[in-house]
Amino acid sequence: MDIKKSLVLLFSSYGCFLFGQETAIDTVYVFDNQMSKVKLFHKVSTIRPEDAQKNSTNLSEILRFQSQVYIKENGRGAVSSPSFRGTTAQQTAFVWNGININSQFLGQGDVNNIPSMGFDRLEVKSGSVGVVYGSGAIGGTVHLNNSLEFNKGLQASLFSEAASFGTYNNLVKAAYSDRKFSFKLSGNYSVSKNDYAVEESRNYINRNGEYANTNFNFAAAYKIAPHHQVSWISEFFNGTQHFPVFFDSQTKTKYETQNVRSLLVWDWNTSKLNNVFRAAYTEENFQYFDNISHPKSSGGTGKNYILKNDFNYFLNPKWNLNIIGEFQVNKGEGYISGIKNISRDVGSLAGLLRYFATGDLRFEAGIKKDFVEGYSTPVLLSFSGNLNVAKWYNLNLNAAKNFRYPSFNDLYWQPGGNMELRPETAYQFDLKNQFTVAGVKLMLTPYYIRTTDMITWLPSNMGYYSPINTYKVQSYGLESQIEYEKTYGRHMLRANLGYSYTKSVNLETDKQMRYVPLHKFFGNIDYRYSFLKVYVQGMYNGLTYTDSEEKRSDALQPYFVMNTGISGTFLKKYTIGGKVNNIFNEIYETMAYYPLPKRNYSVYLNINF
Amino acid sequence: MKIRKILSLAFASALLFNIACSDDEFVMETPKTDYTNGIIITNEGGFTTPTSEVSYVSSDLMLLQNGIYGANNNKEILGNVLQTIGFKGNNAYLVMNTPNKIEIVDRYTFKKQATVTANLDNPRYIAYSGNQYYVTNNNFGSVKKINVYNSSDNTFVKSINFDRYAEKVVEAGGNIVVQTDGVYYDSAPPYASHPTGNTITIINPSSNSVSTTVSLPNTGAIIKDLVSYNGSAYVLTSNSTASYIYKINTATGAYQTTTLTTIPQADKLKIDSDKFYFVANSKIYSMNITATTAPSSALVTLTGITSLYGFNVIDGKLYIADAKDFTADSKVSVYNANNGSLLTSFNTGIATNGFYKN
Repeated sequence: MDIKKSLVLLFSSYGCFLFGQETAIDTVYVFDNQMSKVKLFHKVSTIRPEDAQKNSTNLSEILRFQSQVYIKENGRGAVSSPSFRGTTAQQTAFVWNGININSQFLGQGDVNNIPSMGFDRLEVKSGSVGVVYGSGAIGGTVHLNNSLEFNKGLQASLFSEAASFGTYNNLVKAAYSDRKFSFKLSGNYSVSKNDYAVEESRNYINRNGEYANTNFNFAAAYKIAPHHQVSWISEFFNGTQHFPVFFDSQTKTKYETQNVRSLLVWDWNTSKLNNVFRAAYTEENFQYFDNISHPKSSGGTGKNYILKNDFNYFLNPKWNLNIIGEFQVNKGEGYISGIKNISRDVGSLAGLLRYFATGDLRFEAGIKKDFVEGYSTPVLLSFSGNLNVAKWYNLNLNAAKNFRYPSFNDLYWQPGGNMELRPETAYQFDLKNQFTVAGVKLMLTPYYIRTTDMITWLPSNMGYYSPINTYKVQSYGLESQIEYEKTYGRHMLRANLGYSYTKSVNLETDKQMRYVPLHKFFGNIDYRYSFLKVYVQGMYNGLTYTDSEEKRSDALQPYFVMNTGISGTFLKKYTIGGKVNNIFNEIYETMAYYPLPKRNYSVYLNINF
Repeated sequence: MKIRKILSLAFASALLFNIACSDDEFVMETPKTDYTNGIIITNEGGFTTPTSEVSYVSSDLMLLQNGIYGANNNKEILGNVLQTIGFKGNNAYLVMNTPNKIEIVDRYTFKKQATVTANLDNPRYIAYSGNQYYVTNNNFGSVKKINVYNSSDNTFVKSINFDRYAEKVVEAGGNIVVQTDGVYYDSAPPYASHPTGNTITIINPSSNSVSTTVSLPNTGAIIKDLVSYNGSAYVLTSNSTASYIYKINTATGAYQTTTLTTIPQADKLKIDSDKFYFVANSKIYSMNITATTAPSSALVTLTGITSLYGFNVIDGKLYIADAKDFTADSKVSVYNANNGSLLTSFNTGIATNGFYKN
């Protein structure tokens, strides 16, 4: 295998990398330069914008119906948190264009306050890529990726949707690109009264459930010289969520958040060398109102200044060296939480060595050391191998040691913050078996994760809650997925079915972790004939314990929810569609006592200019 | 390795994962609809999930029923944070902190009679005098008040505001006695706790105005509990060196002090059959209310308990609840209050915080 082939493999979804006669490479620039390398050794599920539009309500719905992630949501559109492979929300990393955007305060991503329409590609990955994406990426990662195209001229689109419970989603996009320059902007506004009722579930009414989100996203890239490109992307998100209450007498509360994310990238590519320098700024602001008609009662501001250099070099056609250096300043200031002007310097150095033994066999070994101010952290290690055993069988192995360091709240909350906390440390292993027969791709991935020093907030003998390192958790299970796509004349059929079995046990009590279903199934089937498209999607969630002692009577009962939609495209520009969600009127909860809506509808219009 | 071997490995491991399944049985308690001659147990529930419920155990500890509010009220949810229950006549008053309401139920059938919401803002505790009841409201911020309601029609009468706190409230000697000071924490590690002050406020129920503000000695101790017994109010305070019990004459505001020099950090005071019972450092102590020195040994030394929460002594039996991690059901243990022997234990609901004689 010569170096060009290795490079093509490595940068296969990488646009500005043009050399020799390899003009066949798709000219799409992806901001997260590591994504294509991750895909060499890990299974990454891609959710395209047209798939995401099936669940346009919020990111929770997208992940629930189109991935193996369990999403716990306190009512539609409210507080929501993810769980991969039986791990916790803090052990899931949300990565925006290669930058971890989990809240510095909570250590987790607030799923419904992450824009569900601002990305060009949503990618979901189970298991660790801690060496690349840092602390917290133990259970899995959700990537919100943007891309830019070249030489496409002027493009614009509009999506507008009206749905049940006074819900409106709107998205406009415009892009312009020539051979050297590309620019894109998008704006999204979603609003909902969200006043749904589920009489069958203890006469539930989603009182005080309204929300509104606005998101703007700008991106541009310019090829300044041969082999050099400068790119920029910024995102501004503004969200208001009211938190549902169970009684009219209860004090109504709400939460507001404003986030800014900006990234500047300089790419330098030659045939052997590829260097990406990134400077980023991310800012999170949030305010909690313990009474919607009073001023804010608590809140915080977090600011992260990030410099990152990613150096990739082919020593020879078989050996590739990747060195990633990163420096961050994390600043946090709380309002009423007692967190005052924290500033933490975080540095890290990671090395990845890739060996392309043959066209069918490759390995990657990684090591990373974080330097967190005033805090000792373990060394992260990873090893991956990928082997094409036969044309129809691919074997992929991953082993890693990684960790999550405590959040600002864990360390500094007053009273209770505990500076003595150790990071949660995890060892994991998975083995993906992929079979491809007659266009059907079947993947079976057994995995094992063992996490020690789980951080838990418990009442202290002083009368307040304080986080301490507690039990160990062992998670193991099986992820399986079937993908099929077939085009025949004017017909197109695409199917994606997934099933996961998750056993995640607190080793102190030997009981299943809370809110980890043993069984989850999801499936999406799309069929297109000429200008008409239909889809069905279904999700089965097995018995889910809501307490720490496997109490059956308090567990969430199994449920199966099915959605469907139809659309027609006219004059190649205008698409009109309708959706019916929860067609069988299933009564279901992902968080105890907070049922999600019964059957509901939407109509939408999509115009491509 | 041959492909077939790898294949069978993959499938075998899949099968292995699938058979590891637990099958604990769903136990349905015998339903009962008469809650006389027993103990009413309050399960506070989660802070964000409406898991508050009430349990009942018969006096002979033979019959336990959990979830008696929902069972007798069409599975209606009670809410989150059931702070306390008060009893008057045939009714029980369930003070619901987060939902800002009081559910009034028949104390023997637990059927709902009325719901009170007027002027409630984080209600905490309840006491009764004559034809009125008194509810403290405390949001640990701007709200520090006691509300007065008319018992016959549940109409709101008035509020009395306090300077720093409004927590426990009892009726003693015909007066309403309110805990008007509590705890605050330092803003830096190790977050040392301090008293906000040392006041107990006495309200004259005929005028519904403050008759006396009792300032207990400033020993640096924090007020931990307030109970009523035989016409007097008893206040427990403690710090890291000692604990104090004050017996207050509610007519004059005069008090007598018992100093427990050898037992610091005492918490949760109860009185039964002329004996004090309290908890300190995972030990339960008892002493005669007339004794002047601290007991030399504990009645019960608790082991294997994560979060000691509910605590009471009723008719010679000591009830304690381990709230564990506050997400699983609490475990209640019942001891003989005279010799400290364990009588029985059972599971109740989430965050069991109180035991009441019915």
